[in-house]
Amino acid sequence: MSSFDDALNRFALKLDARSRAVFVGVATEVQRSVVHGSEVTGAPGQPVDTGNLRDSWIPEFTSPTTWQTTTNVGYAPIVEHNLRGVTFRNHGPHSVALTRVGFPRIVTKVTADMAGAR
Amino acid sequence: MIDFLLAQLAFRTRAATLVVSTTGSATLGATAAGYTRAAGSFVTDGFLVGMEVVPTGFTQTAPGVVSAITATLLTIDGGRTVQTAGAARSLTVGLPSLHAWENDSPLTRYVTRPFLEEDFVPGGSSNTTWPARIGLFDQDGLAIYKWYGVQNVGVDAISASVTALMRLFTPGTYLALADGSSIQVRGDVAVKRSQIMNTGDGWAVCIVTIPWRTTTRNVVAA
Repeated sequence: MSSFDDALNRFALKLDARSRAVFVGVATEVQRSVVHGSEVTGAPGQPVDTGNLRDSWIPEFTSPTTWQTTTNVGYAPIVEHNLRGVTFRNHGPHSVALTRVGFPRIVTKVTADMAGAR
Repeated sequence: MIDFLLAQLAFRTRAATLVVSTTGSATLGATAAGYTRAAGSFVTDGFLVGMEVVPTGFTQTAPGVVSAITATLLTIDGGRTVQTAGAARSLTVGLPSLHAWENDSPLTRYVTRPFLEEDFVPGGSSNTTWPARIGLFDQDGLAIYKWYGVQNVGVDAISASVTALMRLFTPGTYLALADGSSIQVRGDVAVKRSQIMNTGDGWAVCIVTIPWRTTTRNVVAA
């Protein structure tokens, strides 16, 4: 009986470790998609002139189960929404929106990578 | 794989059917101030300050922007050509007559008139079943409409307009493409709108984002 309990405990620990790994992996992939662009979501990433906007996105684990990335750059919404006919020499707009709608693809990719399916 | 041009055109076609508010066919007149009616109510019909109305049945058919409203008088910025009351006329608020589709020649904008911009944004794609040759090929993306309303007249007109636009693209809405394929408005991440933001140069903008998805059979070229 105790060996069964031990097995259950080992499984629980393994499951917890896997969950944390998926969480961290998904957060990392979201950050990459928003900032640098992603083939998974189609997000182009933040356009770079001086690098101010790209470097302003700060990822943060706010609790064991929550994560966020934020920017305090005032013109970030103009870039995100492609307002005022902004010209993009590299990367492009809508990276946050594309990352949001591509989130299921991110989760699928991260879990598949962890399972060694790809 | 879908034809992106056809997909973009399908979104435009549906957006063009937008009716935010209308008198329907009614007996209407025009004065130097705007439009008049003896029966019915411009208020009840849903007109709001800052909306652009398109007249039909009048001699002057140019759109006009509402600057004040009572039940029987719809005041139009700049006034109207006087015309006695007549039947079978209408006033309708739809998609702004000034709109810039992607890569059109630059739009001449007027700070007293609403206008609309379009972004059609392809997203991710992946083959979801095996083998690839006949697998299911998922594609998604965003149709984005940026509604620029008249600045400093409150949120009513812009909010009512984008809400009506969003109701054309509720989750599960199918858009038929000209080649027989279709795309669907997503429900897991669904149509949304932004806060109304003052652009600082004459307009206030609200952005409607419509996530879409399509699944087709993958074809591998010979």
